[in-house]
Amino acid sequence: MWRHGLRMKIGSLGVMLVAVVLMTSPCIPCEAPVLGPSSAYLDAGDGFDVAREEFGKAVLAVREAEASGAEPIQLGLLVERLNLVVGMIGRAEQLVGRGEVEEAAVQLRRSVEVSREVVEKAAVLREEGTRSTHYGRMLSFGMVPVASLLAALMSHFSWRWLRRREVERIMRSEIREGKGAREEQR
Amino acid sequence: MRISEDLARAATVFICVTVVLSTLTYVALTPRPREEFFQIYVLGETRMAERYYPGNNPNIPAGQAVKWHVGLTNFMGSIQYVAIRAKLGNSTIKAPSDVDHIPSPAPMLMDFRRVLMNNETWEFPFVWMIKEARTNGDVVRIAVLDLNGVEIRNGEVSALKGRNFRIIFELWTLDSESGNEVFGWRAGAERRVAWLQVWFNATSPRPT
Repeated sequence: MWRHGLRMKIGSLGVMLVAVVLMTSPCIPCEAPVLGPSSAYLDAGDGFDVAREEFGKAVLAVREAEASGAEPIQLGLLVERLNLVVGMIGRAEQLVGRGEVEEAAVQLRRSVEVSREVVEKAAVLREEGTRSTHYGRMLSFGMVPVASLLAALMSHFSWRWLRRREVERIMRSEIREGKGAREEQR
Repeated sequence: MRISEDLARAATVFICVTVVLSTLTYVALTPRPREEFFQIYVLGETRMAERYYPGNNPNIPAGQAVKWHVGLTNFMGSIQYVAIRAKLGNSTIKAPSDVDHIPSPAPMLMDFRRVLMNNETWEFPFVWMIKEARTNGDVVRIAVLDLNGVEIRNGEVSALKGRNFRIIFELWTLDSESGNEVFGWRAGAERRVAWLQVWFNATSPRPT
């Protein structure tokens, strides 16, 4: 009888746990954010256009990595690389102004390489960020039914303990009263 | 009978605690909407909002260096590519429009670009000097300006008796939707702009 009752309790709580997990599962995002449009945001020569377009892509890639919950330290390193690209493009503009076109082209080529490298690293960070955010949410929502189950068990056993103590107290007082009545009769 | 009562009580506690904890978890994990903005400022040579001119005299003669500190803080909640465009204007050139989000048509002296992380402040020195000012009757034209060691030739901006020139600082950002550099920034459905200006007089020009 006692075993049957316990089985019933565990079975019911298990059903509730599964129901809660199913209810909360739509809150967990399953898709990674979609990449934004490419950019070409300043007018200049071909080299500058390519460099700026690649730089724009790199900025958007880093923003997406940030939005997916990537580590701030890792993002900081990518931002440093982006500022390096900003410096290279600025230097190339100055060199063109001075007529040093070949040196400017070298700077622009390097800036494109760094931008592409940043895009690759940002994609990796975005994947890692999405995964860690996903697991973090799963863990957080998964802990809810566990905590609820613990709370339910604690309340159940506390209630039983209190009721047993109350019954024992009443029985003791009744026994005392019975003993007193018998002594009076003697 | 007692078992089912106990079970009902435990189930009620379970459901109530689940609802409360699920709500709390959702609230804790959902990022709160907050205002997205930039803070732009210009400080004097002491890095305070004072002493914008040498000797607190806004009449700047040619050859006199003026040192400011320009700063920008990113409160957009994300990484931003920003450009601060410094322009030279006078009293008749249109200022940037806060309503229509149109930049000033004043000629650009230099732009300063950087990628900023969220909550990052970027501050840089802005040291300028009138190298050459030309007069034509009462009209004074700043022909050559030295800005952070770079010589900038400018033949467009002039002012009567050299009064009421101004340096305008405009904030431009990379718009992620269009992929273009735009004046101001997009905060949700709204467009916002930020700009500053500091007035000065170009006095004592060298006669030409």
